[in-house]
Amino acid sequence: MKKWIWVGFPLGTIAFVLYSLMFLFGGEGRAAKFMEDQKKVKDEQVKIAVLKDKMAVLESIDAKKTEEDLTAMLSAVPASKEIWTLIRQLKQAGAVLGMNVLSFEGMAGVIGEASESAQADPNVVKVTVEYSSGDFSQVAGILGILEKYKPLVKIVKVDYDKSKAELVVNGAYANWVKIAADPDSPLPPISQETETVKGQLADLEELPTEVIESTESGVAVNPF
Amino acid sequence: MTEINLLAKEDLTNVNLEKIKTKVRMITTIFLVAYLVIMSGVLGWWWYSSNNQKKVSEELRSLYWQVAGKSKEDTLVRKLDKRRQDVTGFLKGRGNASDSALGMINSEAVVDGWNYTLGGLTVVSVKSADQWSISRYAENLSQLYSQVRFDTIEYDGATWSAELSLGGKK
Repeated sequence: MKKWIWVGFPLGTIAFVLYSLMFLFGGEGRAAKFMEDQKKVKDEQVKIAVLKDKMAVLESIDAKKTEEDLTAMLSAVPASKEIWTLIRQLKQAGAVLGMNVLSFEGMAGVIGEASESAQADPNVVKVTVEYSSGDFSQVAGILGILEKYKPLVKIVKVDYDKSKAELVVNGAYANWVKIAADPDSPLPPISQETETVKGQLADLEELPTEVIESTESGVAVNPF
Repeated sequence: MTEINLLAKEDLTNVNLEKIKTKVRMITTIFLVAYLVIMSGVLGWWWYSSNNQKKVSEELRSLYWQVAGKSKEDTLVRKLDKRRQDVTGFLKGRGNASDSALGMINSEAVVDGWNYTLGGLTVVSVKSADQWSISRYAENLSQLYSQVRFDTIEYDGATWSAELSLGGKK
């Protein structure tokens, strides 16, 4: 028996190696968990990089200037249906060119299609306005004035003849959509695009607080 | 040269066994040392990875807190971006009616009627004292529109009048 005691060293080594390997990699899926953890670390490192970039952007934001930019955008496309402002714009444009407003017809929406699914479009402020007779250059002038106003106006239709000019205009409007801070998603790039749009809006004018009133009587106020 | 082994047979077996023992011990020792070195590296890496994982998780949590602290700015930027898109979309889709109207005005003829629809066909009625002015008027319009078509042309003995359909603003 004593003669074979030397075999204990290699056998013990083998047993130790097997046991330690089993202990480290075999028990309860330790190796799989370890690999999973490594993947998690990599994912977290990617998130850290995104958040660091985002944090740098957030820290560089001038909240006051951003609010001013938002106000400028809101003056062009308001968050509420400013139908009275639109009517004032139409009256003002007519008055500047000496054309009286004969009638208004306003709608908070339009019928999209003649089917069961037809429904009022909530994102449109539509007004049909009829001006008294005038020269065509006056009509062109009215359109030019309307396109220079804030909130923005879209001229959808014009019917002009010697007796009258009828315009269908849409006032810009976009409701607030619920926007919440999302720490995981990167911020949209705003600076350059905002400056471009601000440049486009720079030539536009706010409606004067005092509207030039027509000197002629008989201006029909909107019937709705 | 022939080697003569003078040892007894049992002693010879013992010598061979000693050689095997020595070899086995040597191989086992080398293997064990190599194994221990490798395992030390693996365990070291494991230990580092576990610590690093904690550190990364803490850093991530801290960054989330920092970003959450700036949620007002985050929301403001998203609101601005959304409103900018609304403005851009409206500006793109509103056409340029005044420009179209100004395009109708020229000295060749007087505009008597104008029917404009955003994104659709424009119809203009004009009148003039002579037919050549009407023709020149249409020619001028063909520089602004790819389709210029005479719908009607009339003469009442004194004035020429025409109705033109215009499409495909250049």
